[in-house]
Amino acid sequence: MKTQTYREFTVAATILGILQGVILVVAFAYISLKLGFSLGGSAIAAILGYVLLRGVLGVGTSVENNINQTIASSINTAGTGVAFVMPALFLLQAQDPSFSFALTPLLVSGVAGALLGVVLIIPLRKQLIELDRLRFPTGTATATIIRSGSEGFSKAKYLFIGLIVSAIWKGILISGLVAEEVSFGFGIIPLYLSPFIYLSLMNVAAGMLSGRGGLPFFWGGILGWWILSPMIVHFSPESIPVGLEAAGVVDFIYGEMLRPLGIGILIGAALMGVVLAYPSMMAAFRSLLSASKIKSQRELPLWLLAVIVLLVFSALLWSLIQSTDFSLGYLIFVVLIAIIWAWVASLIVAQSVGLSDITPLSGMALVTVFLMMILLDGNVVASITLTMGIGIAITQGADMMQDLKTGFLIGSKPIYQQIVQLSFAWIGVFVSVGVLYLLWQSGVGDQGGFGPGTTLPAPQASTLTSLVSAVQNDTVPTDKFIFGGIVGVMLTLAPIAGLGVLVGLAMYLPFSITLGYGIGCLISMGLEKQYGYSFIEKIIVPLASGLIIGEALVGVGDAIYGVLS
Amino acid sequence: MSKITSFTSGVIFTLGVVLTLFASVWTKLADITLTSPIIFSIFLMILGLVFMQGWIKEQKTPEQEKAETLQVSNVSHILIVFKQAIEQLEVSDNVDVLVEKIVEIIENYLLPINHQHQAIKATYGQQSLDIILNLAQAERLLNRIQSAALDGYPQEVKNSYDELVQVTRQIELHS
Repeated sequence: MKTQTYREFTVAATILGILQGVILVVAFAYISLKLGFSLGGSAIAAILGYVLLRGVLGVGTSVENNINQTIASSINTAGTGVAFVMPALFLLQAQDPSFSFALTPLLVSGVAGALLGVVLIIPLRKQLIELDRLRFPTGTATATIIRSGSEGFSKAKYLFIGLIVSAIWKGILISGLVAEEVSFGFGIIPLYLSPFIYLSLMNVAAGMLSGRGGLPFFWGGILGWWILSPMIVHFSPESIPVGLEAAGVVDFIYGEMLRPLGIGILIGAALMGVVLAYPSMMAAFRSLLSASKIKSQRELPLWLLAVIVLLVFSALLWSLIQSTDFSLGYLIFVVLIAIIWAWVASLIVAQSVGLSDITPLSGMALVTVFLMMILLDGNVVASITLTMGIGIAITQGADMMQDLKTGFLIGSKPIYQQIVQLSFAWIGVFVSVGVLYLLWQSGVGDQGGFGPGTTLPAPQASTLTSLVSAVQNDTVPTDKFIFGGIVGVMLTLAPIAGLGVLVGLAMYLPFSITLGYGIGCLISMGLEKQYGYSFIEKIIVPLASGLIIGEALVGVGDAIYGVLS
Repeated sequence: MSKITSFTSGVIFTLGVVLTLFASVWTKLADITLTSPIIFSIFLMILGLVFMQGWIKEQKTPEQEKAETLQVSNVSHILIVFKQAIEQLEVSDNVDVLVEKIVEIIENYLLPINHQHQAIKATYGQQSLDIILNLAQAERLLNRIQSAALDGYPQEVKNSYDELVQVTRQIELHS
């Protein structure tokens, strides 16, 4: 037994978190240019934190490890936002030599976004974690792994069973012995019913952790692919371009119909959710205002959050002034709209991650670019500068909430987590910008170091440039956003928790993912009915957490191996 | 009768959702008139919602009835059992006993309440929000005590216990 103060916000945890965060940013920025997606770093940071703090230094506690993991994932997440948006500017410059942009406004916007995401989401912590009790599957898995470090391996057997099974299964998938996505159509079920399932145990485990609460997500997938898709094919064939093959029809239905409708539903549901949750948000807000008398429950004061929002406002305004000729009054209006949108989008992404572990970031980026291009009269540099700040804010908000959930489950003080996320997330912006700049300069001859035709194709940047083109050519499906928004509002008014957000998210994603998740929900519901909810908490939660972490570890290992080789 | 109403309202609402999404595939916002199919389908959604809300007001689910009896007894039990756990810690300084006790409290008292939190919200409305927030604070403190005990920090266990006593008093006040 130790008599000294409980170790929580320590120098060791801070330094370790920063080091891990920087390493993860460098690796994951590179991976995102190579593969087109990035990875979450919370679970990896928690495992390394346990090994280094307790194993090497012999001092680590659970809450100290939570601080380390919060810092690492905040830096990593901020870097991911940069790696998603900034390469588009390099590629646009390569296409058109007259196109130019300055680095400083981008950096200022990125740092402002890293702060904004945290301060916008803090007032929603009590609402999402304590009142709505969203599951946040990865946050729960990270808490389970942190707790298992203290409990000892014998008490965490279900976690390790899950971890080993999932790691082996992911290894089999990576080796190619079994395809990651398999068809169950057998040539009988038509392609427009999307008879595919994604064989990810992580996906099934997220459904198992959500249980009955995640079922609307499954229903949304069925609505999209087993009801709407055949209706479109049979009753409205004229809305599909002539001459498309079966696979092309599926791509068209998904890309041009279901996905935009899903984005619209998500936005409508989030807005209506804010209206409906107003009384409980106010209760949570009052609780925040009254500055809890309980020391361990304290959070950053609202006046400080307001001051930071003002600073962020000024920073975003300054970065816009550098690349536009609009009047100051109009730019103030644009930044105000951008911040309000950042709050709504942060809420959408945090709710989606909390309910399903899946982030609709690219959809939110599409809406952000669309909104900014309209407000800034097609000024690409200014729009992307602001999109980078807003994009980072959105991802920071979801990451903060995920880490706060982990903190709740192991009893950390929220104020420490909020301080470290605010204090260190910006590091990820600088590191990621530096990595991208160096990689771009490393290109041979006139060619940049990444983009189509190089070993780093940067698929996300290509997606963003195509979004810019879509806005310039007026091909953004605004009608579907609006109709989807109306449906999202109505779904949220129905008396089923999370219905609007989950249905929207399901239509936004491929059905192969929704199906695996839905199976996880059904398994969990069946087990709960048979054995009771304490069985779920005692056995299924650690088992599913292991399944999530096992796949994440092997996935990261494979991605790094792929990059190195 | 109420079952038919609930089923019917669900069907009308679902039909409205499906038809609105289907109509949005070909409908242009600029071309909408009062006779457009999408207007009819939106009306169906609203009708289904109105029926649903009417049906909900007439119902009191078994979960809500159960929630009414859950709250007070569990609040006092949490306090009593936890005091026993702390006494055992002070006497024996045995971490395993303490952790076992905390797990017992969480499983026997907090989990059933958390499992019912939607029903509690529905039953007590605005009043329940403070109770749920206090229960969440108590849960966080129990988690902290468990972490501190497992990490071997008895002073933190005692500090957090004192805070837990304050929170449980707040819950008693609200209830």
